[in-house]
Amino acid sequence: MKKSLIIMLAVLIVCVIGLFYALQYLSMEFSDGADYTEKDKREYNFYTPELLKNMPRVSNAYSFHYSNVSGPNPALTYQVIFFGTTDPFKINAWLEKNGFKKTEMCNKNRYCWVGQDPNMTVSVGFEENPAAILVKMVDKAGQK
Amino acid sequence: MSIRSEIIDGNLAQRSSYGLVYTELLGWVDLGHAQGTDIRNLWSQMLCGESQSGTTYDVTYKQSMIGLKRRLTVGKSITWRLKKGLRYPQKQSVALAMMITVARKFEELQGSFPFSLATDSGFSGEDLVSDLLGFYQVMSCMNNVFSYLKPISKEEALKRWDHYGKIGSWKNETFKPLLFPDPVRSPNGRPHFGQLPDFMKTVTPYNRWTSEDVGIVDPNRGFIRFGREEPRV
Repeated sequence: MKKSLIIMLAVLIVCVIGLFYALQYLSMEFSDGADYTEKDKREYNFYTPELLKNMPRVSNAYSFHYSNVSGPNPALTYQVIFFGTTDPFKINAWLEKNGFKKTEMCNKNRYCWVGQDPNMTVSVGFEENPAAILVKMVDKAGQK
Repeated sequence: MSIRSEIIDGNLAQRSSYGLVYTELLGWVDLGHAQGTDIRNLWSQMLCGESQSGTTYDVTYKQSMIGLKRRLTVGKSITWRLKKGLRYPQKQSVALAMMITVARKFEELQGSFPFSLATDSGFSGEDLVSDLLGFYQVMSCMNNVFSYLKPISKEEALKRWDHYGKIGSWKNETFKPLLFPDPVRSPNGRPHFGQLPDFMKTVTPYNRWTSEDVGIVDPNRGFIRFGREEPRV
């Protein structure tokens, strides 16, 4: 009797822990957005696409932003901001090396790049006050 | 629903596809919802349908949300059958009615379990009015609709956000603007509904169901699509 009680308790604990992790996963999966740095390991590993993970770090201070746009025009947007610099040379060269082509100026101070995937646009821009480079990736795959 | 860091300066609203701005006439506007891409897509389905043979054609409108890395898309869609030859204003009415119908169903879906655990986006205060703005960005043929909506600066918008709290906790199940008074000018002000500007009241949603112009093929489809991989780079 005592043994079966212990087994039941163990099963219950495993179920509760499983449920806890499942809910946590679900909440990240459909989260509206997140701001994080590379030190926030859980968010960094979960949200950051390989493109931004492998991008050259052009300054020591940088942070990430993720946004899940739902509704009529669903899209996922990923962004990294490098603070203290406005020189995009290294990032542009790296994008070219990885098969991206510069298309046009898609906003003020911002150039767009396209790669193999037509649903995905990468843009590289800068801000002067405070100095920062913004690399933004927009994935519109959900609109298909 | 958006988060605080997505707030951008109102001056950038017209040329940005994503972000959150505050306008004095419509309250918070989610630019992702207000792009109008969905309406352009629906309109092009109508134009294609008119050029096909037969007396009727089907059009589908949908709204959805994506699970991370495209692994999952969950949404709502409807399909209506239109008689060929409907006049321009009738087509506008049908498009508006389709958007309104799906937008409500989709927000309900987002507000229901299990999605409500992850997001408070269901009927978030800015969602429906932003969808409606997307419709009129396409239909009104105006070059810069935001110049009529009195967008405010990022600094001022952040003040509203910090004073009233995140927009996702203010629910709005209507297509009317939910306005948040300036906390400096009205320290005791409370959020209240405003009136839509005139250019956003010009089309009436289609409701002549006794006529045979429009039939319903699929009144309410919930869909889940499983995707695959991380985006190719």
